[in-house]
Amino acid sequence: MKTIKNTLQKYYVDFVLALPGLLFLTTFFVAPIIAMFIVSFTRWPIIGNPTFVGIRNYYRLFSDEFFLKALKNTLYYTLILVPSIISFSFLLALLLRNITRGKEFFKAIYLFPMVVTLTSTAAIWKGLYLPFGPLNQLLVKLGLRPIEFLSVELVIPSLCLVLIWRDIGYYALYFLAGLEEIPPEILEAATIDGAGAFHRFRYIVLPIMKPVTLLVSVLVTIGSFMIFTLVYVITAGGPAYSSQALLNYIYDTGWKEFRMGYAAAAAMIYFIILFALSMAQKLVIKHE
Amino acid sequence: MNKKKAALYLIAMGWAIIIVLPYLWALRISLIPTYTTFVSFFPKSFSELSLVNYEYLLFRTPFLRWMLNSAIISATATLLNVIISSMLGYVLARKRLPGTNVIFLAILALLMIPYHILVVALYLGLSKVRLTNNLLGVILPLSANPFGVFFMRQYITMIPSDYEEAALVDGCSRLGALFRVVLPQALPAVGVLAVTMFMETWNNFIIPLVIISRESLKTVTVGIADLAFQTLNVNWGVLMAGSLLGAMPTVLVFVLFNQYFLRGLKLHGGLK
Repeated sequence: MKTIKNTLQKYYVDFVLALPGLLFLTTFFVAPIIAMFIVSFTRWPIIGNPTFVGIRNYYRLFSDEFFLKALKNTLYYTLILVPSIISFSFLLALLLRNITRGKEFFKAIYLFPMVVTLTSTAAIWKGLYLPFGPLNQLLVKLGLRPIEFLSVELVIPSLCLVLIWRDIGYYALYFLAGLEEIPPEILEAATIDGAGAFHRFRYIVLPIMKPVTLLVSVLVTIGSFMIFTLVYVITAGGPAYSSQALLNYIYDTGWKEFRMGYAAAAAMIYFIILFALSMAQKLVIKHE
Repeated sequence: MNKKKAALYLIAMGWAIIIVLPYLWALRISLIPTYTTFVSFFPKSFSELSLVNYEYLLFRTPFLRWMLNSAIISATATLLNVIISSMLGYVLARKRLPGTNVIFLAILALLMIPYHILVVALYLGLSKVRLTNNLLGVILPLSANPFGVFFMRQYITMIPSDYEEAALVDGCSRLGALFRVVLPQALPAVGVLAVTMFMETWNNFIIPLVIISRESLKTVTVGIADLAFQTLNVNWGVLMAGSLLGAMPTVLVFVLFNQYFLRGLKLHGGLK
């Protein structure tokens, strides 16, 4: 009895301090994951009660052309975004590295779109991409033909362009931090030894930048899988589902068709893919 | 050499202009009283500009209400998150309670899960307890952000516990030691966390979108999306005015707390 009382006294403060955080995280993070897993085996049309259907939701998802389309689109977004954001933000970081005066000013400007609410940015680009909007007016003025930015073929690259424009200033900061870690003595020594600019870049800068590059690729991949707001505001997934991302599909299934069980199953698959991806990338980073 | 420098500055300026132009265009559109975007970029005269779109936005749409809702949600969720994160982070850092290592590992695992996928379950759960169409239904899930706990734990681990123990020896209570000795030293971390959380909660879209459908309870992000999807004709002037005003709070926080924000970003990783 006394030992229990002693332990209680010993841990009382820590326990009370930890409790709110643990409660919040279990209620609003852990419990929803478990609930989603259970709901994914049910048919749940919001109004009314769920009925257990086993793995039918999963089975049906893999022959659901809209789900597969959303999955394919999400991969398409990722395949465009990862290499382009990495290369452009790396270039931007090199640019910032070679600037001395006004560096902080440029950094702040480049980061600015990251700070603006994504819905606002999306609304603005929705206007820029209008058939007779400013971008096309500019193209006509330059003597070029207007482009239908949000057509079936071009909609995903166009939406990616917005994200590239928005994000490279932010990811450049990662590369810049990496570049600033390279000791200038190494580069000087290499120059004295007769290494040209290209060789210095290829054999000194690039290997040092590899961990940062991997980290950015992880972040951009996860970011690409979380695309939702931009698509929702600019195209609502259209035209003809050609820009529908996975999260937009889950939202439409749950909140437009009111099929909660099915939406939960889609979310579970999305969760598994994302988890596998980040695990794989973690392994690669560790391996490095 | 100087030519090279000049070229670099030219490119840097060029990209800065490309970043700023869309926002300037939005400002331009928000200042003309028409429904189209068919305007030349530079106004021919200042009499051409007008504030009717802002007037319409503020007095004939629930925009002010949306701003207020966003402010309530962001402020409360940020405050809640900072409080629970500091307390739990402190316990995890000092490792006095048994099982803290397991809890910390669990939090690391949670960090890998994007909250976006929780929306289905969150919606079902919150509607069971009648918290949909309620600001609390947005505040509570947003404040349960494992990043805060992780961040505070990492920071407090770096603070030596010597001062704290000295305070305890001098007769200070454990709680007193936390609030008077540890937290003052962790103030920079609290600042970074508060700024990051405020940005995230203000910019959040999917949670208020699914939890709230009543017009008077919507956040400004969802409101802007509504303006962009009016059934008849999108009123571009009003939409651009709303987009610019709706982004003001986070821009202001960025301008005021630039350094905090940068540090937070570095540690946090992608926010979409």
